[in-house]
Amino acid sequence: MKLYNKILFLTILQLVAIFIFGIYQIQSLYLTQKTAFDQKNLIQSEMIQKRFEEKLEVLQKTAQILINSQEVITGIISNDTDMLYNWSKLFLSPSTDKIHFIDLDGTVISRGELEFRFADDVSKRFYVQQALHNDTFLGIDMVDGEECLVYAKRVKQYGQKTIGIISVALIIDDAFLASLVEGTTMGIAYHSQNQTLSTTKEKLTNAASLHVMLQAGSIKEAGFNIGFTSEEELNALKEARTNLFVGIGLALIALVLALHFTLLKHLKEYKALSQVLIDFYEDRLDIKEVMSTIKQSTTEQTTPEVKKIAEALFNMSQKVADTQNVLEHLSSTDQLTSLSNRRRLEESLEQKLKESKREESFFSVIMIDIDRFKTINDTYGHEIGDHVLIHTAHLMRESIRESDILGRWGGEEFLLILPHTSLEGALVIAEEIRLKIYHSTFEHYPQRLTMSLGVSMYRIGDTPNSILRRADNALYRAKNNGRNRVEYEN
Amino acid sequence: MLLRLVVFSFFIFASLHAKEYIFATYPSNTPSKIIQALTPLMEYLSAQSSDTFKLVVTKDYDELTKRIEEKSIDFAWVNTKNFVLLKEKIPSLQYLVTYLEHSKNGQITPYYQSFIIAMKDANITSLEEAKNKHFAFTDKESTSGYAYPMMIFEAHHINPYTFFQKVFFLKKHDKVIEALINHSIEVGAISDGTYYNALEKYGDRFTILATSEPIPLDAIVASENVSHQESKRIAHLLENIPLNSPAIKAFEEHLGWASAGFVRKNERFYETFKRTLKVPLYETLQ
Repeated sequence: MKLYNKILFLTILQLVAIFIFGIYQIQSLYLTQKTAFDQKNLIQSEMIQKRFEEKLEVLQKTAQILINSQEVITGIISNDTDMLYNWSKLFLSPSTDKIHFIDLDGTVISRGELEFRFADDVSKRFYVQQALHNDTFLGIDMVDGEECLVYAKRVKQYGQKTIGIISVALIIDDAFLASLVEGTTMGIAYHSQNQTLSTTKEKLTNAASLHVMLQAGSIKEAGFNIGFTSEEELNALKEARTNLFVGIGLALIALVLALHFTLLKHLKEYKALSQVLIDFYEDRLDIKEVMSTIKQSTTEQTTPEVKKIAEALFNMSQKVADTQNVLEHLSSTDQLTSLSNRRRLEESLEQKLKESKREESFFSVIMIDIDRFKTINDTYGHEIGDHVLIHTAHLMRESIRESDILGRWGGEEFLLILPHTSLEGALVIAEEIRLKIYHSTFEHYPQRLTMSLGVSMYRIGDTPNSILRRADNALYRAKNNGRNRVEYEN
Repeated sequence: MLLRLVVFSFFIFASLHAKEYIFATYPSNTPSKIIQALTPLMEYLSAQSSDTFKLVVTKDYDELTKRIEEKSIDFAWVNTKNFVLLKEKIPSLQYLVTYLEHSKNGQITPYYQSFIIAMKDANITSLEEAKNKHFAFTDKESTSGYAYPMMIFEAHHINPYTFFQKVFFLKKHDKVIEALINHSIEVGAISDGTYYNALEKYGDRFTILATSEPIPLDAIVASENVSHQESKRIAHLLENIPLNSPAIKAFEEHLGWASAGFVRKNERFYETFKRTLKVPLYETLQ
């Protein structure tokens, strides 16, 4: 597996593990919060239920206190509106909006909430009839044109004789509903045939009926529903959960992409460097090409680490190239004359043959041999002999063109390869060399030095041996014909 | 020397004959206000009579009656009903004077009246037309809000408890007016003073269906302790009290009464009230 894949795989694996752990944690938190939320709503529902029951209790207790008052009984019997008003107004409260005293004819004797409104007939009201027939009524009915929770009860003299009715009522309005749900996050709605009230403009969610023990009244379809005004908290929780999921997911994708591009950027540089080395190893590049490729691959954007590695590789390649050059030079150079050695000459000859064959060009070779060199060694010693060889090589090198290849073939024998040179041209050069040597003097050798030269020109189908053999034959003829001369074989 | 002896003897005689009288009333208003309203009158009487008048406010009407019977008080300020009842109970009770007041109609009278009124928009022009309507008295203890209206009904041979559809008790005269204005009742019994006040407040929106006989104002009486001659002397002092005296001003200041002093009437002046006691009470309390 590639390094890129390994790094990416392992990193994604870790990120996915973190992501899953994060999701697990968030989900656990969500479930815990939701349980708390549900619990809170349950408590709130019970609290609202309790408040409603307390409101009913207040109505009943108020009525009972007034019923037990002898003054109230006297006031009802004697139609003492003023006394009944003075008594009842003391019991008006936010939980008791209306207190009415009604005689057996259904005429209101006194209203606690309205001092000067009385004497009207309410005998047809449902709650009045119910109280007269059944002793008590606890339910919803219209009282003075307003839908109310009403508790009506017979008032009895000496606990036996009914003398009238007391009705205690609480108006079902927005304030009443608000008082039930005050301090909670829940809403309550009241619906009847006449009106619909709600503490919230929004529709109640998870609405449930309030469990109220009310008698069926004249108001049809009257009922209370409680529910959540909105699942704002839960929705916020869900939204937070979703946001966290999406956030973590996006972060994961962003991290993977960032990793991908970082890896690509860094590995691309490393890969380019390593590819250079691979190409060098597999001989697709030589050391100089390696150096130039490394140089090209490093730019200003290259990371410092890669730059340093590239520099190191470049310097190393430079040293290898230098060493290679030295070795090559050593392996292809004659140590004495500093001319190309026989191996180098053979390579050059091979190359020229290939070029000539490929390009249909031509070249010539001159085989050169110093005459009677053995006598020089024997007479003047090897040191002088070497000196002669060195100086002769130097003189010949001065006489040839830059493109010509001159080398020591062995002993006192030299080979000169003349690219793009015909036989005639080669003979001219050979003669110039012979004459130059002949007319040259040597510092430690007092004799005139002569050399024999055999020239041959490339022919189609030549091999190194065939062209060298012809040059060698020409040289042999020059030796046989008296030395210090140039011969050729075509 | 003889003159000095005569003056000294007169002084000794007068000192020996100067009396201390107890002047009592019952709490018809806040006791402190009553004390503030009547104290200047006590000072006036003390100064004019050379006697000492001490003010006593009894706990209630019963205590006042009891103390008159026991002769532990000498003078008393009583309302009409109390006077009539006391006189029946204690025949020796001596009438001195009747309180005078500036009436709302501009007259100075020793009496006031009860009106049976209806709202004009109820289109009731006579008592007979008020049949089966809703009616309100003030209080059964009220002279002008109950006793005299009952006399009116008696004169018309009306039992209000059957004549009217419902009869209510609203305690105060002003409340009867408010109940009429709010159309809770169509007919009500009030004093003439309340009527004139309502006229000022609401305009001419009421019809007077019936008017009672004059209702004597409060009386000042003397117990058996006080001699007939002495009671006449005190009555004379009261009759002649200046209208600008501190005693008269104190009534206005502390009780809001438009007092015009006192007048001595005949005891028969109060006999009209005696008839109210004979009117059937039609008690509904069982």
